[in-house]
Amino acid sequence: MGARGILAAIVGIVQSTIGALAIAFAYIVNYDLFNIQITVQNMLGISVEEHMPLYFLLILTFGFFSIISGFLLIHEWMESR
Amino acid sequence: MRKPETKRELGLFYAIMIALNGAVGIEVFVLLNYAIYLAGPGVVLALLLCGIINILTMLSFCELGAAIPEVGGDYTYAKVAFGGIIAFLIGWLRWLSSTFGATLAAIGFAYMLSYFLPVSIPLTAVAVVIFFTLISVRGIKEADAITVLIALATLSAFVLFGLRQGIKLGAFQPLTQRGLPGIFAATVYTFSMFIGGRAVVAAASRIKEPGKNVPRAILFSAVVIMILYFSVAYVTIGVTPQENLGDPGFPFLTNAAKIFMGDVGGALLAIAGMFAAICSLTTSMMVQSAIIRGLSRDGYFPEFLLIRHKRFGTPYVAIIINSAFLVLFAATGVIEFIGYVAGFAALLGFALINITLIKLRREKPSPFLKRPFKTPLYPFVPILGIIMSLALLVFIERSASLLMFEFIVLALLVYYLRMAGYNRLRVAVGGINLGFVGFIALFLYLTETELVPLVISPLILYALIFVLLVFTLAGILNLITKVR
Repeated sequence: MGARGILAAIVGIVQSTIGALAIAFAYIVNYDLFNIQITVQNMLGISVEEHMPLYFLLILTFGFFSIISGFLLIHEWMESR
Repeated sequence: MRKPETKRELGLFYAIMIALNGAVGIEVFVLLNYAIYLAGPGVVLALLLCGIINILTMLSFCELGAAIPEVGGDYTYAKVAFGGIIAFLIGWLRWLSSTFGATLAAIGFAYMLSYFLPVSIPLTAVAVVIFFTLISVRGIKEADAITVLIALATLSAFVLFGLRQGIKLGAFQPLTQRGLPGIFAATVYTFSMFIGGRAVVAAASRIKEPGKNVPRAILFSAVVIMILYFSVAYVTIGVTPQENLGDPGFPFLTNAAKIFMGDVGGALLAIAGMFAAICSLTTSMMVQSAIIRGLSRDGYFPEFLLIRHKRFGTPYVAIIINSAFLVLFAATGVIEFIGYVAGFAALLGFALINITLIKLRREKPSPFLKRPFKTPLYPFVPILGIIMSLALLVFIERSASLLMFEFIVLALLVYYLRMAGYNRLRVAVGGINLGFVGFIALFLYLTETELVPLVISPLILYALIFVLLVFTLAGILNLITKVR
């Protein structure tokens, strides 16, 4: 297993994790679990509720893509073993 | 046409039972409540509209099921008519429809249980999915006629007791008090209550004289559930006080049962709902697993989904992966959202089935494809089915539309993966990764130079820089993939 394989594995796992966290975050914000919308509004200074479906779509797209890209890298590492 | 591998052993009675088993599920017990909130007394019109659209498309199912009585139902018809992307999309929508049907059943079971015990809806729904996943891995049989008859008998008793109690016709005045948009929204929302009759086409390879029995079973079940659901809604509205109609969380059905059958009535309805939920869940899980394996056999999904358990002989990998999706959706515990998404998948799938019928009539006319049953008033009936199905999609809740849009994009991506090949996909993904990097870098530049009035805390800034680095590396690694 070369250095490229190990790097692909690490980046793949991190990227997939980022994607999974992004999707979880999108759901938490969309359903306003733990009153997170107010916290996000305070942090970013923008009204989240107004364009929620758009943010939800964007974060979900980002999350799904991140997972797919990460899985491709993990697959490369598994093939190289 | 290839000869069926399975033995044709089921007569008309069992064909009808299979159709009713698919049609009489948990949906009526849980979806009707919110539909009444959406449409008020107009829910009876919404259910009538659902029934009409359902029959229009069921006529297409009758023709296709009688002409091509093979395993796979909708997906098989689309493969014969189109192949390629349309067939894959129909298979994908059928899988989604089963996934959301199973999710609805798990959440519905939790709601019915909450009639007796103070349980957490999302946790109970997840526990139900995990429990039935374990049972499915060991192997389960299809729900039998008894479960269907229990649900049918309970709903029929509900209607008869309600009619004996006396319906207040004033409760229906004015019928369109929530307006036409409310009625159309309720139509989309409740549509998944009606579609289960198509279960019989999936089992067509086991039915004797499919040319006669498949259309009879489909049409009989479609008419029965249309009358039954209309009557249930009619009785429920007829005994519910007007002031409760505006409450989105009001349990209209169990409350109506309590009014004219006492506490026992409410409990009976909840128990029948739990039976129906188990029946819907097991059926949907089996359909889900069969579709995903069919798509794997055709090379759209990885082959490991076809692996069977050494001891139990069940496709456990497909079952477990499907259940992971179910857990994800069941954890929301939100009936309304799942109801809309299930309706969306069903309506889009129905539009595509009508298109399939038209395509097959044009390209494989009768001498080439034997049609024991023909859709009457062709092409008006399938065209009307397409128009009505697609027009209703406008009234779906926004977040549900967005989720379905995501799933369709994902379907196109999966299809592209199969068509384009692995290396081209890696290059495309690498390019998109670097595109994200460019976007994040531009966003950081604009906020740091205050050209965009957005407050970015140091924590978010560092997190974005970390994401930027990961995506840069991922982009480069995907782009310089080794050609094999």
